[in-house]
Amino acid sequence: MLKYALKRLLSSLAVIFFVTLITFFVISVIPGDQAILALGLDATQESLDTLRSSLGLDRPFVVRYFEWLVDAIKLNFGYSAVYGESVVKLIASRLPVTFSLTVFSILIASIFSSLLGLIAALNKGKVSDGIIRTSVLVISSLPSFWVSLIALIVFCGKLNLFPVNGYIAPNESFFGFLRSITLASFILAFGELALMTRMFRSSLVRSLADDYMISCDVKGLKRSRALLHYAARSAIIAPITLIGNQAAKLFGGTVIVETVFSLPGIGRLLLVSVEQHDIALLEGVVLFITLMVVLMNFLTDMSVALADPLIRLSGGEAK
Amino acid sequence: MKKRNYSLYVGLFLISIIVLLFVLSFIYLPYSVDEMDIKNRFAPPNGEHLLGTDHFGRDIFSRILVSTRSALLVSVSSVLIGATFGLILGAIAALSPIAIETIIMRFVDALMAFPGILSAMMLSAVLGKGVINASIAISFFMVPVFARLSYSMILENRKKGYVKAARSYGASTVRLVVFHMLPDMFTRLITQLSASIGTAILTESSLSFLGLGIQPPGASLGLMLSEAKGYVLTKPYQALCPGIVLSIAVLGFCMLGDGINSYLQGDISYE
Amino acid sequence: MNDILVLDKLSVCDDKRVLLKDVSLSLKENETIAFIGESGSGKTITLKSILAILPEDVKRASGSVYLCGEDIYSLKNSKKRSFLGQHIGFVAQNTVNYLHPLLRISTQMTDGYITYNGKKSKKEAYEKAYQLLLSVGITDPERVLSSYPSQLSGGMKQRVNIATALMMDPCLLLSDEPTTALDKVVQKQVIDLYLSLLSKRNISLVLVSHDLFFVSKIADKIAVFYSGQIVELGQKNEILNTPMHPYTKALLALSPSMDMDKGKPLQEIKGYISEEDRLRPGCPFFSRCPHATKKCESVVDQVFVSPTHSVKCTLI
Repeated sequence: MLKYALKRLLSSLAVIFFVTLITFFVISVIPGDQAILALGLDATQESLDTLRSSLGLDRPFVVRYFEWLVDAIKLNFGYSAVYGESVVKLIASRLPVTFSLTVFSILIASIFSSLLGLIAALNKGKVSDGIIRTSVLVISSLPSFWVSLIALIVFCGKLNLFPVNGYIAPNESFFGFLRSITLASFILAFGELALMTRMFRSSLVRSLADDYMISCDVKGLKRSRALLHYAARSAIIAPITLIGNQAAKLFGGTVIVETVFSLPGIGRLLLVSVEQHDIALLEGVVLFITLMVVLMNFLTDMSVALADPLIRLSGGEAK
Repeated sequence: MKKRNYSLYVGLFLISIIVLLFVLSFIYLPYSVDEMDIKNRFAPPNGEHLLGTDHFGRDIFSRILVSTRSALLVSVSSVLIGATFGLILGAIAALSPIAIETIIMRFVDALMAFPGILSAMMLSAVLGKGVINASIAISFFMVPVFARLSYSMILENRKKGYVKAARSYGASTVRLVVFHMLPDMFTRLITQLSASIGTAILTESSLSFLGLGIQPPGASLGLMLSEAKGYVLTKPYQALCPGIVLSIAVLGFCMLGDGINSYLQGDISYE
Repeated sequence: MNDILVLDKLSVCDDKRVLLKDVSLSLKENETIAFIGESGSGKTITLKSILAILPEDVKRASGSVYLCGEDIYSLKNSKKRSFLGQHIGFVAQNTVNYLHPLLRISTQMTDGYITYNGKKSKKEAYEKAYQLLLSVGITDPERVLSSYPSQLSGGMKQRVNIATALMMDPCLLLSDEPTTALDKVVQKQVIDLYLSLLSKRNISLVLVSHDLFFVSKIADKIAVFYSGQIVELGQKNEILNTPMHPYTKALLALSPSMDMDKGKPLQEIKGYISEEDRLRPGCPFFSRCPHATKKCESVVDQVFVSPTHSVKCTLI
């Protein structure tokens, strides 16, 4: 297990290295010469040179990258030009919204998709199976911003069940907090439903057809024990991986619902930084989200290894 | 399991609706995209305006027709570009010595760590808004998906019995790839392509919805919904049709991918 | 003596074909019956239909199965499971997949026992599993019990499965080709294991095997399967010494022995079990039988050579 953990850790570090490299390259290098951008095309060579050396642009790419990396490791991302606040503080203040959105939606998606997957698997090939599979596909294909608008019309406009916009912090009113993020969480969860239901279904179908289910019957185990202890044990591994990966993806994909429901989360921060060209903020947010994704994937691999002795014992070579 | 392959047919049907609209946009466009008729704002569907008008009095039907152009062109071209780069990258990784393979695949993992909309937003921040940059951004995040696909397909195929068998009776590498590996890869590639086009349409419209893709007064389904958002509680109708068309497009490509997969594989994917 | 197992005109089919046709037999306490016949003749399907664990698309068409007097197909699913769990042991052919890859052997061996003896019997169950593993020739039961299946060899898994089947002291053990896929040394050990099991326990055994040597050592009765039917059924000596059905004769003649002429090719039965043979009202062996007459195509009779020996052939 330790060997496997170390191996995954090393490869995660390699991924993080590339993530920082890509982020730095895309954000700081692709836009072109920042001195020209700042001073305009008709600036004199001298003033350009002066600005470049004061910005540190005259040094090689590698040196600039490592300086930036060291700053990033020290959690020093500079100040946001739009908000005039430290980037780290901004992210920290917006984190709770996005975090709770992610957690709620992945919980909702897991509960619904595991139930639907179970029903579909137990009725494999029957009408209910087809209905479930088609309807989750349809639900997940609906664009989230359109569903959000429809939800706004129906639940906030017509039925007046939820607040139209605005976020209520949990320390203000916990019920208000739940109300303010419920719709958004459900809509995020909808997007994950098809993939997750299909995964639950197919891995359950596979393990229900496995021979050890017959040995459960012959040993006289109760159906519930055979399902929960035997079938679910091997059927849960693929969905755990998927849930982990999708949770990570969701974390970076909340921008749309945050926009529609006016929730002040990381996604809004990202959108503002893109719209306002706030480079420091953009770098900070992008790096934060991608690091969360890598971390989440690492944790997922670890929990799968805990559930699957084959990986644990072989150090990951079997798969 | 005996099952009629309805996803294939429904998928094809839905896509043909979109393609029909796309073709129609070149043949017959009732109004120009930016032709405003302020007196006639928020008109319900009527004889003059088939699907009514929006907040500027522009004809919604015409705008939807033109929107299918950007939806199809942007998504198909960016998926093809991204897929080409990705497939090549993955193949290089799979055929390279282990050191290079590891470096490339960690790089691909790193690309994967940027959730789709994030990398698209990041790129449009540095490249600027607009339809070309949106396409580049979308192709960018297609790269790792296809890189992983070709990488895993080549590795898996090497391990498969029939490839080993073919090796053992002396089939050449070219023959092996063309006659033994490609047919199997083709299925998964087509499935992935179709599903990716669906995702790309969704991403393009998301970017436009956020104001980063197609710029007004151009027409895009995402942009139309973004504009409708301001009036959604008072004039909900404006948000309806563009959303339906968009859903049809996305669902169509998803179901097509699904259907082709079960058609070519004999439904193995569900077992 | 009581009949432990009775099959009464059992027929089984899937959506296209008849897999078993009018299979009847009975087995008394402490008796062993062996099913022989070539692959695809219905031996394994018979075992599975005895336990009512047929695959999804395969159904019992008619006939009944009585296990210790219980009509197994009349029981509800939950009752059937608890009946099987407490009275019957089953050792499957493909032992590899019958063990759950992600659960320890100890869990898989004991949880049937714990289901029927209550949560408090955990220690007892473990002790019993330990003793059973010892008795099937495993020298380090502790290690085996704490292992996952992937850590055990094929022979070990086979033993674990046998031991698991014995956990509830069943009155009937069904064993599907216990010696196939094992090497010669392990085969010998498994045969010895079964022989000692039978001598020590009050247990009846249904055995499917291709290994005629094994069968000759262990069986009391032999049923010869061909194309989903029992073509000949009798006491071991009757079948091995005075086979009546042409198929049985051919099958026995095939068995390679040490005193065979070197250089002479191994014998075979020409042809294969064809689909027409399965549908034919007459003898299923018709198209391959060297002695077949016109009559065989449409009629087949069951003939009792002795009270215990029956043959399905019109030529006798």
